Amino acid sequence: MDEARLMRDGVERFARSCLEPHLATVEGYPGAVPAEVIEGLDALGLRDVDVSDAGGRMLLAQALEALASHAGSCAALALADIAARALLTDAPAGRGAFPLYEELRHADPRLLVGSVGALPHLAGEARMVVGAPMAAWLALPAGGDPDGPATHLAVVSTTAPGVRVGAPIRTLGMRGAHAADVVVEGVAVPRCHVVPLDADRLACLRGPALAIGAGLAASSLADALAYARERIQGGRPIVEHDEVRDMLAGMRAAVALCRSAARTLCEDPSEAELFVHAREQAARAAADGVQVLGGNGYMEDYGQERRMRDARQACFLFGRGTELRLARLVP
Amino acid sequence: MRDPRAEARVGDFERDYPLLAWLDERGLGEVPALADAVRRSRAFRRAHIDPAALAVEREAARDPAFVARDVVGAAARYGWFTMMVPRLFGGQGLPLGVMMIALEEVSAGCLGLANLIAVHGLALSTVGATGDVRGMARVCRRLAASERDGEPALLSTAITEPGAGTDMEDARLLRTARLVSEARPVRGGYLLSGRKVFISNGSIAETHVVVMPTDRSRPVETMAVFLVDRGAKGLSIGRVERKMGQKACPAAELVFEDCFVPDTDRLRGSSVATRVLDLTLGATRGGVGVFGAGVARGAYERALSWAQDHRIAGRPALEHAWVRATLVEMRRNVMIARAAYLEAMLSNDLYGLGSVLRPGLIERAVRHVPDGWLDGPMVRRLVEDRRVTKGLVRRIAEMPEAEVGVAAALGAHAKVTGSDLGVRNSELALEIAGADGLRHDAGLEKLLRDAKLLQIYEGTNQLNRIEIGQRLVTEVPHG
Repeated sequence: MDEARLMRDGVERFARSCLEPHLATVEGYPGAVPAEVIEGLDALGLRDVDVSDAGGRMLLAQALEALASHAGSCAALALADIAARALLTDAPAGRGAFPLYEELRHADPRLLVGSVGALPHLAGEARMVVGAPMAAWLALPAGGDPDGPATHLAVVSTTAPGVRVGAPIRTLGMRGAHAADVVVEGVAVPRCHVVPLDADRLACLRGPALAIGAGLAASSLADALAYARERIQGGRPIVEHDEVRDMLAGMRAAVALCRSAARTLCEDPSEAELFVHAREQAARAAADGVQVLGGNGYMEDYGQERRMRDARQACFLFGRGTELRLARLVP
Repeated sequence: MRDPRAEARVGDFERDYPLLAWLDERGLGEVPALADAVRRSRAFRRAHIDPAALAVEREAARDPAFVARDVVGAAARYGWFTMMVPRLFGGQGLPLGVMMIALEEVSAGCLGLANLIAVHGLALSTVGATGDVRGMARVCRRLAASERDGEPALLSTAITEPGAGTDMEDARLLRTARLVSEARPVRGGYLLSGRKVFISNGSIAETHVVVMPTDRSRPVETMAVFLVDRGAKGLSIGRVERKMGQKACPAAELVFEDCFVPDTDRLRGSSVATRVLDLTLGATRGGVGVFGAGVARGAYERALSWAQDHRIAGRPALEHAWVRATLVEMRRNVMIARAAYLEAMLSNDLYGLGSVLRPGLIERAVRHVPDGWLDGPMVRRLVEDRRVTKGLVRRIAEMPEAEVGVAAALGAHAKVTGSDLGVRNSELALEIAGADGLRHDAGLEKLLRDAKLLQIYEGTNQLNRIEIGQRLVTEVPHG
């Protein structure tokens, strides 16, 4: 418990002193994430949490929720690094990047593994690799059959000859978690850098990933509630209007659902339907947050439209909802 | 000579608008014009909206005051700004339905550009609903002349205030609204003070239609409509907003500091807070429903196109039953949104603003008069005769409340239906395209950002639901 509080306190300190002053820069496009933000994020030690253990995952989920309540994209950036590491037994040093929005079981490998001499040889591309522009290395799905699913995970250095990381892609949300396309042209890597893909190891991050939605929904609720108590319409605060109260109640339920579902998923990551349903509710809560704020919610300076975009983008972490849902019953 | 009726038979019109095709079979004379609007506006969208949409949005994201002048110019050549304007005032005098159907096409391409070139409809509706014929003539003639010159004098409508958005659009809420604006009567006119916010095209309009009370403590009784030209002393443009979407249409703050408006520029007519706003919003909320149907269709078309060209999990996307089922759902949503706005359009024509502005005796009398003669001194005298305005104002005031209410409610119905389904289809399009859909360059994520505003402006959907309830479901005041 103390460990969790310490980590949450660390996140709050980082958010207040390091992140908030740079938020507009981080979230803008074309944006830049200052080095001190990256360093501050790395210093939180999230990548050192043992995610093979349910307790570690819960700890991570609480930290990511706290982080996302300030900036969803910082939480996504941390998650990309953690996801890349979760799939490897010996991850390289430095920050890693990972295509967070792919369903790895079904991803069409655009990165093909061949062999030249004794070494595996990589050629092709990977799309929307989250954190690639600020990473030391990339963990990319790969395979030998262009028509079959990805079977391996390849690790390549961002500075290796033949590896080209594109410019940050303008995306719906999570704009501070720069995603980029990566082209790999005939790069030989050590055998230990091409490992069989174990998608279950990634599934164990569903709880922490859902916590990002929980953080976005919770901060949406807090702002919407404060606004609804202040804003007068028809001579009374809008919080007294049934329609607004109903939205706030739904948002509150979404926060509770996401937190509870995140805990369940940390224990049992196989509950894909719960993962998909809960994050959808988080996206709805963030959109309702815009609605409660009305025209103000639609404007960038209130910050709520960013939460709406981030929460919708979070609905694609580890793949489309429909794919994840259908795959559970008929693998 | 092209026969639009024949084209309607062979084009997509019958498939997309079975109700109108059926009415055409029964001899409704206006349908060929609607079919022609579909054909022409599709060509306009392909030539000027689709190719520009993403680039304009990126430019407007960099500079919120950016305006796609070339699209405005192309719209002027198309005759976009004078479709609704009566021929008597230099316009085309086309039925409201033509504008709506054309608007669906443009909205399917880009909601921001659609708003940029169509939001003058809100101003024209507000002016028309007052019944002030001289004011209508002034606004319409300037718009028509400028359109002919290729540089349309755009209009904005200033209603929303910093502390009162939805409040301004409902007489019951208006009574207690926290207004900061007031038009204080002075000798020869009024001094306008206060702020109006989120005004679409506010930074670029040549004329602002400003809705403001003459006594802030009695807004329902004293709400009035003023025409204020760009550059008027005491009027300045405040901040231009950075919005989540619909970036192609700038939203600006108008700041009034003792801005003098002469008596002649206050429009005379029925009660603004009740009848004028009911008629206006009945028409324009239907227009938001059209926006919703358009973006729902844009999402459907783009998702279908993506699915035709991409694979999911090693198979062509369209081979997945869930993808096909989702596309069917999206198509169904388009049809529902379209049906809702067509109902609103017909109801508006029967009981709402459309019935007020429907070509009357004078318009029918001048149907065969050449355009040049309509600008002559005799017609001008007729238009500016106070008795003509008085007659129209009386006609508006005598419209049965129940009928106006039905038109207003069906406008709200179209707005809620279209905007909700527009948002829903945007979400479904993203689901089909997966990670690809999150990228700006795929043209899908923009749909969701654009569509969200439809649930907010012209009264939030929550307020619109209350109004539908009060007008169509129960008279019991909402608690």
